[in-house]
Amino acid sequence: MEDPEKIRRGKAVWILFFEFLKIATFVVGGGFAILVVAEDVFAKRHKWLREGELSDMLAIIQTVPGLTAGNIAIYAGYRVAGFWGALAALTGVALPSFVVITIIAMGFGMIPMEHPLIQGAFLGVRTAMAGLTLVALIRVWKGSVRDGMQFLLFLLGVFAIIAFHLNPGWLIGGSLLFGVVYCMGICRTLPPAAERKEEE
Amino acid sequence: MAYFWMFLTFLYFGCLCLSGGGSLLQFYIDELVNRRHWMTLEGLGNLLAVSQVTPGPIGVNLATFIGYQQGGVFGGLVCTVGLLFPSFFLMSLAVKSYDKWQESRLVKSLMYGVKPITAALIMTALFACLGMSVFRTEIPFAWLFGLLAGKWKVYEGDFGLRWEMLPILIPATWVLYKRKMSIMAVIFLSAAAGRGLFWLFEA
Repeated sequence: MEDPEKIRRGKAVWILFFEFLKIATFVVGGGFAILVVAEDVFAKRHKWLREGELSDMLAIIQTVPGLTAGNIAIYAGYRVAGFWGALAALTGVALPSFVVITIIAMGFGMIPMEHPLIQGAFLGVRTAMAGLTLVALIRVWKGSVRDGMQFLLFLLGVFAIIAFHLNPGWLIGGSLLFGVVYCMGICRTLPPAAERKEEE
Repeated sequence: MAYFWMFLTFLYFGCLCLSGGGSLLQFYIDELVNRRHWMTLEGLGNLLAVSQVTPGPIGVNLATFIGYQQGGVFGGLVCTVGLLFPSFFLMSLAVKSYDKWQESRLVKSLMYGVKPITAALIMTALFACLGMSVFRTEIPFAWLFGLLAGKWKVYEGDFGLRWEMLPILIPATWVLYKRKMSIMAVIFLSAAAGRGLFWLFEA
């Protein structure tokens, strides 16, 4: 006889896959939009997660490297059905993008980029993109630059890239190292700015 | 062999895209545009634009798009898997050891250092975005820093402001900040407005 827990998990893996497939197909607008919908589906409807669990886990979702949407899927999948659940959820989140973008990319080369009207349209969109990046910066700013030392790090980072074209990978590695040396070596007690809370 | 390098490149991006992919754009600009010359800055901007209005996470959309342009359907697959691979393992580990890790001073210290750098990477990505939209060329930082260092030189380049794009930039930023409109609506409106303004002023 089969283990009932095993059967439950096997079913859950498929449900995870299809729910995330649906979420990724119909929710446009990136990570936080997906968070809200996923909470609705998995906490309210399936009751697999606590209500508010995903929002509470925002810290972990934002700390681990990776895309917000991907990390949400991995977290929910892993909590509900372990390794295979995480794999199913992540595949579900990535599959619609993969299919749709592949189809678009096939036709993308045929767009007459030299045509003035097409040029103008893409120029307009790139302008909107600049606005979007500015908004992203404002949102990230509050939680990221909280004291003088962090502001100095920010300025140094910007300067290193625009003046010396330093590889951002070195900057990330260096700043991780600096954080440990500064917070645990020089300051003894953690600076208040390090006691972070995720907002949004 | 080319696929293997594409995979490694996106694996590297996947390991380093902290704060949910916000700093990823600067990595693409640095590695794919400036170092490997896979595409131009404008080309990357156009792909990003399409990635914003198609369903699914923007990071996955962009990885698939770049991968497809470099190596067809399989290239898209390789880049997408490479990007998501590290987070899959790191996230599983983090969930398992969450209680230990939540109050860890080490994690807090690491984050204290890296968060301002993430903001800095978004800032430089913003410079790049401005350089391909409201400005005619990239912002001439080399010349500016030359001035600061005392090397006086008259600027010889095409840098300048496209005034006619400001009526897109300012309202778009405002409605996105106030969340009054979805990203998709803003992008389609900007495309329409960009067509009209470009036709009026430059074509």
